[in-house]
Amino acid sequence: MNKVYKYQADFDAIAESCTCPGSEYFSFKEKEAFRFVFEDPNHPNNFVPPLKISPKRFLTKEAIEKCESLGLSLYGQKSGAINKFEELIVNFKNFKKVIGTHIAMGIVDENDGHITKEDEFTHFDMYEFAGSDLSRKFVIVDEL
Amino acid sequence: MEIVKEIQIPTNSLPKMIKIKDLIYFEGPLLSHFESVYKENFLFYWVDTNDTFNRWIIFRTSNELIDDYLEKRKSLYNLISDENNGNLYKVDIDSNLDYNNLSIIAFEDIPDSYLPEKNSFYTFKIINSNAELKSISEKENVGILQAYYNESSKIGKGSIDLEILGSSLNDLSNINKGIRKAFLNREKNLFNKSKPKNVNSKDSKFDVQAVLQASSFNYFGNTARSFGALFKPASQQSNFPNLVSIEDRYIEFFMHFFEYSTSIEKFTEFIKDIDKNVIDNYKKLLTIINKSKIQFNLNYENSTSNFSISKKISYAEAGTILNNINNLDYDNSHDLHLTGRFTALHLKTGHYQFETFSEDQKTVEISSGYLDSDRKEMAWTIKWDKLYDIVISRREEKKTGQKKAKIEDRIVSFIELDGTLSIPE
Repeated sequence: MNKVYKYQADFDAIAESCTCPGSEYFSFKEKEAFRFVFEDPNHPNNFVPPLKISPKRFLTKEAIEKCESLGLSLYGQKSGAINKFEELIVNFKNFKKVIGTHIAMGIVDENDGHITKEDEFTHFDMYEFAGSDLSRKFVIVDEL
Repeated sequence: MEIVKEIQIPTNSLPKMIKIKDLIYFEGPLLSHFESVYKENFLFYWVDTNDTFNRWIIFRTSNELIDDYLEKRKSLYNLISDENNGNLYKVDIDSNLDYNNLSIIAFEDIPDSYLPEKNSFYTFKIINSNAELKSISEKENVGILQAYYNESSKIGKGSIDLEILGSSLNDLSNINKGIRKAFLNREKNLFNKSKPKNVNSKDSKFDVQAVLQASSFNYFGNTARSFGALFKPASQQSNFPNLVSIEDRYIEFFMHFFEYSTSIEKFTEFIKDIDKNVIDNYKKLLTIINKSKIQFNLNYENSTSNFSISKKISYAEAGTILNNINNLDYDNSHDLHLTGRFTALHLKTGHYQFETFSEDQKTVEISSGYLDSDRKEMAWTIKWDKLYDIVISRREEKKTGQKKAKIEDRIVSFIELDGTLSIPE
């Protein structure tokens, strides 16, 4: 079954300049995942990719940045998320204003979207399918 | 956002800049290197956000300081607090990338929450700055190799001292010739080992052309930043998504030569099957890098197979590698198969000179040495206008401190072939 991406219109808009999302999908059925969120469950930035967050944090208008910024950042392990946070906070003391103040955990499955491979911090991106709503699947498990 | 002590200036006060690369990126840039039209280096450092803007501190720096930062010799705090920075700027950038509230701010007036910790050393994986290379690779549908020097007094944006360019390209080309020979041999051996015994020999023929083309490069242009030459493989092979191509595998092998040269042990092992003339060319390249105090970079990007690899050699590292090469100690022997003609022969001593021309590799290779005792007895049968298949046992020996390897060639087999050879003069 061909799924439509949640941000398909954005992908279509940059289709001429880049192949987005990329083809490096990692097949999975379901997976435990962690994400930085704000304590307020209704915070508008909790489950949206960077391109949908206002104000956008870009310095150039390269299409490739837009493509990467349509993926939702998730982590395979809580320790990976914490390590990444600690790495960033040394350099950017206000970074909680961007990513949030807590870590939430949830189970994502293949109907939620395509995912990329995990990096050394267990970070992966999810390109969500239309209809996916991760806010209903995640609960806060720790404070940053 | 914090209220800071500042001097507001018009938003068009900054010089026109282009982005060189992001140094820290998480869901968008956080620390980015820009260069002005006057070739000044600036860092854009993210510090704060509200509903409308992202706030950045912009400060001047230098290539040397950025290198020190990336090599963990200096922290981000050291860079932003460097007394030679001159003015620091604060700017609020909105979603449309419009600059607002541009101001000059003194370092001592920067709020603590806008400063990195003093131990803010670079712990990040260096971000491949190859967005430009990726898009060229995507357009050409092949992997692209970029060789470039960081800017210096001799290397400008899109321009380079002719002597440095000429020598570097010549050395790089000769290094490639030697490495591709070793790669061809390695691929042949791998092919023979993996070939099923019951398969028709016609169907399972080793494709020499494919390997040779994958390891040959055509120059086809420059990149815009400091002088960067672009090369693409000569092969016309199709690229497949996420499948590492033979070109990718060759580049990986090629890069290992440079990578392993920083360790005597690894380099000694790697060069066992490589023509040692390559090392002489490498020494020339390293000497240019070291004496001109420039940094040499090789980047490869294949956007279809998603394969990328890079190697940089700073002038300090070039000095270390030159020292390693001087201390190399090896004694390798291997057989070489050549087809060509004899151009000189001393029947009594058995000393010979043999020349081969390869259409495929477009190279002339000359070997000189001695015939072994059995071959010396048959030397009188050798004809000047005939083609020969010969096998040379090549011994390459180098002791610590010796500048050059001692190479001894001895012919252990020669077979006369039908027909005569025409070798270009």
